[in-house]
Amino acid sequence: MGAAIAVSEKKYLDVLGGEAGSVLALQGAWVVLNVAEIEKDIAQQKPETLKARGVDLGGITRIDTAGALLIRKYFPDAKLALSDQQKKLFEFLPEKSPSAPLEPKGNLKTLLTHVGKNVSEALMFLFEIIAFTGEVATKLGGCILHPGRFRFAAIVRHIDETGIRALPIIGLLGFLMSMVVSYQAAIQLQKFGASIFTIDLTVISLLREMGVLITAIMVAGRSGSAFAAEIGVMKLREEVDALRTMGLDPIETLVLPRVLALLITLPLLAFFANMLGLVGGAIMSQVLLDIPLTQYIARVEYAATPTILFVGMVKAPIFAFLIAIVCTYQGMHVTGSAESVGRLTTVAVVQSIFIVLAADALFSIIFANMGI
Amino acid sequence: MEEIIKVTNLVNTFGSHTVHDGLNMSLYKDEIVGLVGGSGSGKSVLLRSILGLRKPTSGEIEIAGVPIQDLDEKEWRALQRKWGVVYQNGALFSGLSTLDNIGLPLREHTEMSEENIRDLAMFKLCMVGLKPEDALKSPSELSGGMARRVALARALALDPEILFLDEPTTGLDPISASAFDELILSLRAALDLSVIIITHDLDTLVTVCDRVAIIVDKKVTTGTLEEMMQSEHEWIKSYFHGPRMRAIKEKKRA
Repeated sequence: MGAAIAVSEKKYLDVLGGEAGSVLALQGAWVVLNVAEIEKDIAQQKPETLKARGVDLGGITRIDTAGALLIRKYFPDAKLALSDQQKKLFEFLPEKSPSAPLEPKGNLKTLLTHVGKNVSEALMFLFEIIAFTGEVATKLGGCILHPGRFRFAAIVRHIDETGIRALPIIGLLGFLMSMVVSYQAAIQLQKFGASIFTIDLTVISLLREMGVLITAIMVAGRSGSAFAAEIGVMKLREEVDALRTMGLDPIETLVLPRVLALLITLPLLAFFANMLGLVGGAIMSQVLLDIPLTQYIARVEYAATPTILFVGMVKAPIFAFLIAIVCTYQGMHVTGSAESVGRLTTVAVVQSIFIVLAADALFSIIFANMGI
Repeated sequence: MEEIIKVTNLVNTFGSHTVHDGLNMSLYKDEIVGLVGGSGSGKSVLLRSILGLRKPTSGEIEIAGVPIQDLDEKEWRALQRKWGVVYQNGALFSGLSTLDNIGLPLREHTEMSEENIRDLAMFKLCMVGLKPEDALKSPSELSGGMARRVALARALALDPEILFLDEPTTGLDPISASAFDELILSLRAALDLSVIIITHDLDTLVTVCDRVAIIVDKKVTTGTLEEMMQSEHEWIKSYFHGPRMRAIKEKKRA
């Protein structure tokens, strides 16, 4: 098979007569697979040779549209001596093949337009996400007034997917993270002979910040992306439109169960991460600081006041709400192609993590002002 | 006549379910064969077997005289340049523009200059009846009929000898569908193509196809349209003498 395609002739172009006004003899297979070599042959010739009046196609063994197009392109004025079959092919070619439109080149104007577009899009996003939140809230209100409208089966399914299935990874993350923190703290605090405060540092940073934050980031990457992609694919396959035409509200059937499920699971996951973090801390203090378990527990009881746990946990449902809203919103805005699903899923995860971190900073300021 | 594709004693089974049982079929040079059959009769499985996307349970497939079972990787690549496939919904790559979709086979299989790739892709785009300004559109901006045409242009990028069309007119409006039929006929005349069309469109079958291959009882029965209409087989009879077919025959007579 390969032999049939590789063509033995090396030269596709021959100049007969040698003088100006000579005849160019084209030979061999002028087919698409040989175009690269034909290009080379043509490039070797002087431009004035190519302007020769006569072009003889007699030596061509095979020709296809690519070959015909090349002949049209490089010898536009040549009078062609054609066989019947070749004539048929050339008649099929347009007189002058249209040149490809160029992609618009960038300049200052396009740059400014681009910046302006992005800014207005960012503002629009802000408005739309507030509107979307409002819509979800009204639907939630409606559901509270008529509890029969809650989709319990869907909520339970999402609790399973976003909560129970996430337990191993979230637990592992909390466990490892507190080990890392206490290891670093132990090394530094040992220098001051304040090793015992390693436990305080680990426990406070874990319960106040790290536990819930790391859980939220993990959930955004794990469940948030799933929300955006699931709803996005449904949107793409017109399943969302199908719901609408059947008189079902997509916010109520798709968005609300996910938001509610995440509101339930994220705080629980954060608590789970905290607990496993305490276990990790216990192991590290045993190994690094030779602090027995009973003393560790006593120290944790002293350091972890209810306020600290509360300050951490109160953020969890807020983070859950932000993640769920941003990710379902992006899912509902998928349009066009499969590429859009991928792009908006990425956007959903990045935005939700960003918003979670921004919210966390805001909480820090608020709690600092409250003196907690 | 030269046999371009020859399928002998093809057997395809999925678990205990047999789709093809000793199926024979051939495609001659320069002819258009319409492949028909009920839903689930194994049209797509046959196509996938010929294209090497599915390894048949047993049987032989020859393309241009070469059995495809024992080809090595290099020979496969050479064979793949000889055919073009148009999938049901176009299967255009959504990340590439229309022009880049058509240029992709040229870029991958040849070493021609970027300028000529663009020129050739542009020519193929116009050949299938699209406008130059459609070149930079992304596939999601194209209508169904246009996407099908771009897919055809991509399939024809390397000037193949064999063209496979999987339900090319399904889901198109009658005007676009008959325009597509005419496009296939004119392309065949200019480019010496051999074509297999899987279709449910009776109009396509009547206007475009030289021969009809019907998958019934896990085998293929071939013949011209007239021969098929004379068939005594129960399913073929109901296929060609149903109300839709009658309407087309009357239209043709008128």
